[in-house]
Amino acid sequence: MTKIKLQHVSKQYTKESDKVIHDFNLDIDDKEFIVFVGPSGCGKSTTLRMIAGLESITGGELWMDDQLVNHVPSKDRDIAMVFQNYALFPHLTVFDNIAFGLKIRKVKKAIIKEKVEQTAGILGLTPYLKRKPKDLSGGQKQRVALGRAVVRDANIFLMDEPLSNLDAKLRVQMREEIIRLHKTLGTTTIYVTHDQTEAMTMATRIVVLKDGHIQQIGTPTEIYKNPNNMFVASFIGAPAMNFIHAKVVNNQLMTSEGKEIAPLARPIDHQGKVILGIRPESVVLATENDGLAMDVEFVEMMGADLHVHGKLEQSKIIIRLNPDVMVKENDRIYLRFPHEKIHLFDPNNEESLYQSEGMTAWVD
Amino acid sequence: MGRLRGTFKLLFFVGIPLIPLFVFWFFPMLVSLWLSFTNWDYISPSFDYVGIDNYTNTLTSETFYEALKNTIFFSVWTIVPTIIIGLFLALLLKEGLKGLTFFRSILFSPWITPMVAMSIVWSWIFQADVGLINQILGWFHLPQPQWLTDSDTAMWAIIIVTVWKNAGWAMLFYADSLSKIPNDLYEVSDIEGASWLQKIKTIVIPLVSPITLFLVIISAIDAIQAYDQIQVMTQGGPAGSTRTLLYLYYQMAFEQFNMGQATALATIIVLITGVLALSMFYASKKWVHY
Repeated sequence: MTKIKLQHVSKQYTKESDKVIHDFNLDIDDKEFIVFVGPSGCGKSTTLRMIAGLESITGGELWMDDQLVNHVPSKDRDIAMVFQNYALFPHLTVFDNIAFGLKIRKVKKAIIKEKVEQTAGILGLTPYLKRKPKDLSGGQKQRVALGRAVVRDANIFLMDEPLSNLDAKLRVQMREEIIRLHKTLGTTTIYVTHDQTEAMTMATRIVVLKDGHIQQIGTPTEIYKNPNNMFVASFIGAPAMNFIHAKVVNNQLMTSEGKEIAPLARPIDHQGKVILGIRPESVVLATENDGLAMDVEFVEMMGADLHVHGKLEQSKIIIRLNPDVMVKENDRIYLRFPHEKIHLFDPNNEESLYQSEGMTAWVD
Repeated sequence: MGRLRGTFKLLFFVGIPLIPLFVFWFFPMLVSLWLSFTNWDYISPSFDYVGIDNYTNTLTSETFYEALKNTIFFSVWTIVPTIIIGLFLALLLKEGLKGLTFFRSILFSPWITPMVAMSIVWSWIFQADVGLINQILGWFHLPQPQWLTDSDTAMWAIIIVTVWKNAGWAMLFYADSLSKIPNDLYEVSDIEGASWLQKIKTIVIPLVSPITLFLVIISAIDAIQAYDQIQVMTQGGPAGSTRTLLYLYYQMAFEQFNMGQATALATIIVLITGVLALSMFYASKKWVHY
């Protein structure tokens, strides 16, 4: 198994063009499951492809264990890659697709047969070995693509949005399979996705990217509870974190219209306007006397939860409630923001001013 | 009532396009089939029915088998190089070459040039004494064949012209087909360490196979119907060495005025073409991947 180190890695397609990856630094430990997450065009796939050797590295160094691999061809990096569109050979059977890498590397036929059958067994593909990709469902195709990676016993797995083409149900199922596979094989894995749920559920550590810059690196819990900035806070979590215009006056947090929200536990080096961040599930219902008024615009019944959309002063807000609570359109409800759940962001640079939940002590 | 109107509408719209098809294709084909059982000489108003004599005469004549052999030789040696050169050119022009469209246009231009005009130019190029090819061969002290007047080389001259005309056309089809191969497949091969040749063998050839089948069938039909270049360059000679089945048909019909036997030969050509296309189609199931 392998450790990967990216040091000041950057990518620029032409000398005239802007950099698409800026100063990327990351140490990946052996057996880690790292997820690169971010919106389209944030550079997550480009970074993965640089690690794979499919894109050249413009600046910085890429190390695999103790070897500098910037100029090492893909085939010598001991990696296996799974692509979004499966990248299966349509004219080959499942068996031959899985065996492709081994055949290219001229492994003995008997060994190929044994390994392919073993891999097919792990992935539940044994009944389909003689079929062609066109006769398989999306989930089965992606399992074949995984099989082609697994069979090689590579030291690193690289996965480029492997579940994007699957429907929601299959995605959950395949997610479990990939997690199980990682637990069984312990292969260092880098996984690219734009889906924050995949990132949260699969990663040992998440790397959040935006416009080619790393926004935050951390475990799913760290990222969720203590986002570095508004982008991370809004990208991770569904529904996204609420942002409310507020202000800090004499260590007291108030709405922009001057209503009291909560006292600050410790002074912050910031007075005046702030952005208050609170997750939809952290908001609690209150009474007219001790809560802030919210006008309900519409309600989404999700089964397990009730998503209530509305406005608090000028800010749009979503709260997640127990489905048994009786709230309907045009109601006025009152909310309280528990101080230990509050995040504060600088409205100018969107950076975090306060991190709650275990990072900051609050007192009533 | 409504249903009757619907049927009438259908007949009307389907029927109109069928009229020219019937007048200019089905009808002449049927007449030609009927003529193949007569001894009509193309000029006389009268003729006799001769049964299947025209067919037995054709199928037992040495000239027929000579022409059949020439047709097969011509077909194989035009189809195979057209396919290979077409694919090679498409692969060459696939990489981000500057002026790609310009090169493609140049290579495709023989296809849009009339075969007759091209054949005239090529017959100058093949001229034994002052032709360009022999001039060049002379510079390198290589033998200078009597291209169009030697029965050993005349067919090769016709083949060269035909391949030259068709290769650019095949290239265009292959270029389109290559552009549809997902890049992921090449990347998988890169990661696995496949060589250029292995990529051609495992990715390119199987994935362009439907186009290969199409080109083989069309080129085969084209080869069987080759006429212009033969007429301009060799008129089937020397000593019948470039006389293909279609050229033999032309000679029988319009030089010997033996329309009965010529139409019998035409029927045989149609049958051969049909059988060939069908057998290629069935054989393709093993090597064509859709």
